[in-house]
Amino acid sequence: MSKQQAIVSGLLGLGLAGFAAATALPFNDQIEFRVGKYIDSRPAWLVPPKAEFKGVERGYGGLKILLSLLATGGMAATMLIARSEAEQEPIRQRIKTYQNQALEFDYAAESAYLMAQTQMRYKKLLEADEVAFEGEIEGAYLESMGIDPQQQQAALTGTATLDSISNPSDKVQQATTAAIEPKLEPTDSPKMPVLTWYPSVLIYGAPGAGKSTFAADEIAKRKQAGHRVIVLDPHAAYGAWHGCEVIGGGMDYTAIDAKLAWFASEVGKRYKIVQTQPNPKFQPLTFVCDEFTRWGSKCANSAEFFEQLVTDIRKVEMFGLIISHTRTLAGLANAKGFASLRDEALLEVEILGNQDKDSGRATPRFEAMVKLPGQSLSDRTLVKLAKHPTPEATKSALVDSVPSAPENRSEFPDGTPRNVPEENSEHPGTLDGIRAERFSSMLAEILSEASPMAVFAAESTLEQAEKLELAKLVISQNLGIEKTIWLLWGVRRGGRNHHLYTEAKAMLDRLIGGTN
Amino acid sequence: MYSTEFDASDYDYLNSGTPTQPETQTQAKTPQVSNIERFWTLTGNWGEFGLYFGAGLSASLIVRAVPVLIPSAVILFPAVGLGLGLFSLTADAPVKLRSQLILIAVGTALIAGNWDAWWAWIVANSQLLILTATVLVVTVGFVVANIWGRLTHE
Repeated sequence: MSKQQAIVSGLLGLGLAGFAAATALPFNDQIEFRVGKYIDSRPAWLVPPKAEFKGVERGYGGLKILLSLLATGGMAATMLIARSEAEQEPIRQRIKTYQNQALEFDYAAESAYLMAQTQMRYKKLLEADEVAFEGEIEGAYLESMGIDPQQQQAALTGTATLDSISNPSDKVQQATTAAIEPKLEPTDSPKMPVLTWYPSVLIYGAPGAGKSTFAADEIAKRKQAGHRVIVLDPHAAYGAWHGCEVIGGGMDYTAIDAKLAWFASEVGKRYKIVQTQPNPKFQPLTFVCDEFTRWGSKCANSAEFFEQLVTDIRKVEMFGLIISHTRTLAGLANAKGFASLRDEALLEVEILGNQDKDSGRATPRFEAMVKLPGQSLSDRTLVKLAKHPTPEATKSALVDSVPSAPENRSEFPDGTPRNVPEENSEHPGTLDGIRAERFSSMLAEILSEASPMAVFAAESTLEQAEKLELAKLVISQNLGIEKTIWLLWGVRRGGRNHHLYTEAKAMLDRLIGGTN
Repeated sequence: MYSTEFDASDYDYLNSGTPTQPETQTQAKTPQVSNIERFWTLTGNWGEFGLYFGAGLSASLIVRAVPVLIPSAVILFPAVGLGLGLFSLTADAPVKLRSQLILIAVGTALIAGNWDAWWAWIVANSQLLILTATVLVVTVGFVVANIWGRLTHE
């Protein structure tokens, strides 16, 4: 009960009591009398004539009027207060409802805020968990590859690409340092297994990654081991695959298909010999299948050839070296149904490449992922590849990491487009007669300063080994330091590019030291 | 009634304007009156009745206290009562109720304020009047019950 209710209730009670008193009390004085034994009190005008007077009872007229007036006032106050409260009460209740709604809204808003806060916190925790989890997975994967995760991260996120290593003007200090000082390979890093006696090897990777270069190196090893090597290459360039029997050049898939049929018959012949002779000796025969990706649609015998490669050839000294862009069955002569055989029988080498940030073309990374037969893809091993597997490059190992020219080429006329057929970079040959002539003409051109660019120019399409050979030829002319640097790197002493000249001179010193 | 005689046209629920079942439709709600509002209405009504009653009581007592006012009161009170009674017959509901309330309140106040005089008069004049007074009390009781019901009505 509220205070107002108590007041009104009190006033009402007092009013009723006042009315009761004002009504009950006698108003006029009364005469008390006795008639015989009968005693009564009445107003004076009602007293019988023969009554014996006994006394006077006082009336309460004044008090009754006072009480009546007070009670009337109380009732009036009660009415006014009650009417006023009755008008205000709905408003008060509406306000209370609004307050409750506001409180509910406040609670709801606070609850929603807390929920949002909690969700945000969980989301952050979840993201942090995911990042940590991905980091752990990546770290574990890299560790399983024998790679220090920290080093791998630097290589991935830095700008130390092949370009930056071969270009000393790169502003990244790490690249410059790596270019000047030979990078030592970690002794405990995984090494490429000896592939010479694996029956079937698949080499795949992006165009420009160095598949053919790697294959050429492998062929050289096999030849040293006594293999007869037959190369089936529809894109074979003149002079490529030196020392090998090359079939299919000029996209002659008919010749390739015929050779595949011969391969099948040769396998059959050898097995017949195995059947008829004790411990027969065969000359190891390696079939190199370059550009194998498209053979499925061009050569009818390709699927059977692939099947023989992964099943029949091991005991008869026959070997397959497949070079493709992919390891999918569609890219392996469309050999559908041989997925498990491929996984179990092939030794797979994925040659990894980088993408040149300027040209967008793939460049060698000199790394490969090796999957042994029966191994899962996730268990592959990352191995480092030798940067210059050719004999020429081996001879020049001392200047292996000599950088090319600084970037400033403003003093030269615009050079020829650097785009050259990709196969040229994948088919390094040896310094045969043709190449010697080529080098002579290039040297004459350089010495006459008719060449559009310096030897170590970034735009040069020459391979590193060729640049080095040319540089050695130029140095052997004894033209003096400044002239030699001008011809090799295209910078002169003094001026705003003097620092480039200084760098070039340091490189020349290293070159001379290497040649000596 | 047989099923063949049943006319379903009035029960075409699929084409009815409101797809809800009739029993689930919301009924118009009577405004909710809280207990506190009932309390204020009750006390307000009784306070108003007390005001009229007290006014009548005070007036009757004052008239008794000042005998010179009795002739005026004898004329004025019945005249006002008659006028108010006629007015209550013709007035609209709220005013009618209020005028009836005033009549009843003042009437009971006149009885209550002069009960001893009425009683002495009855004693002095006739026993028949006692019967009349009894009838009057019953009538007044009925009237009071009626008033009570009205006053306590929301």
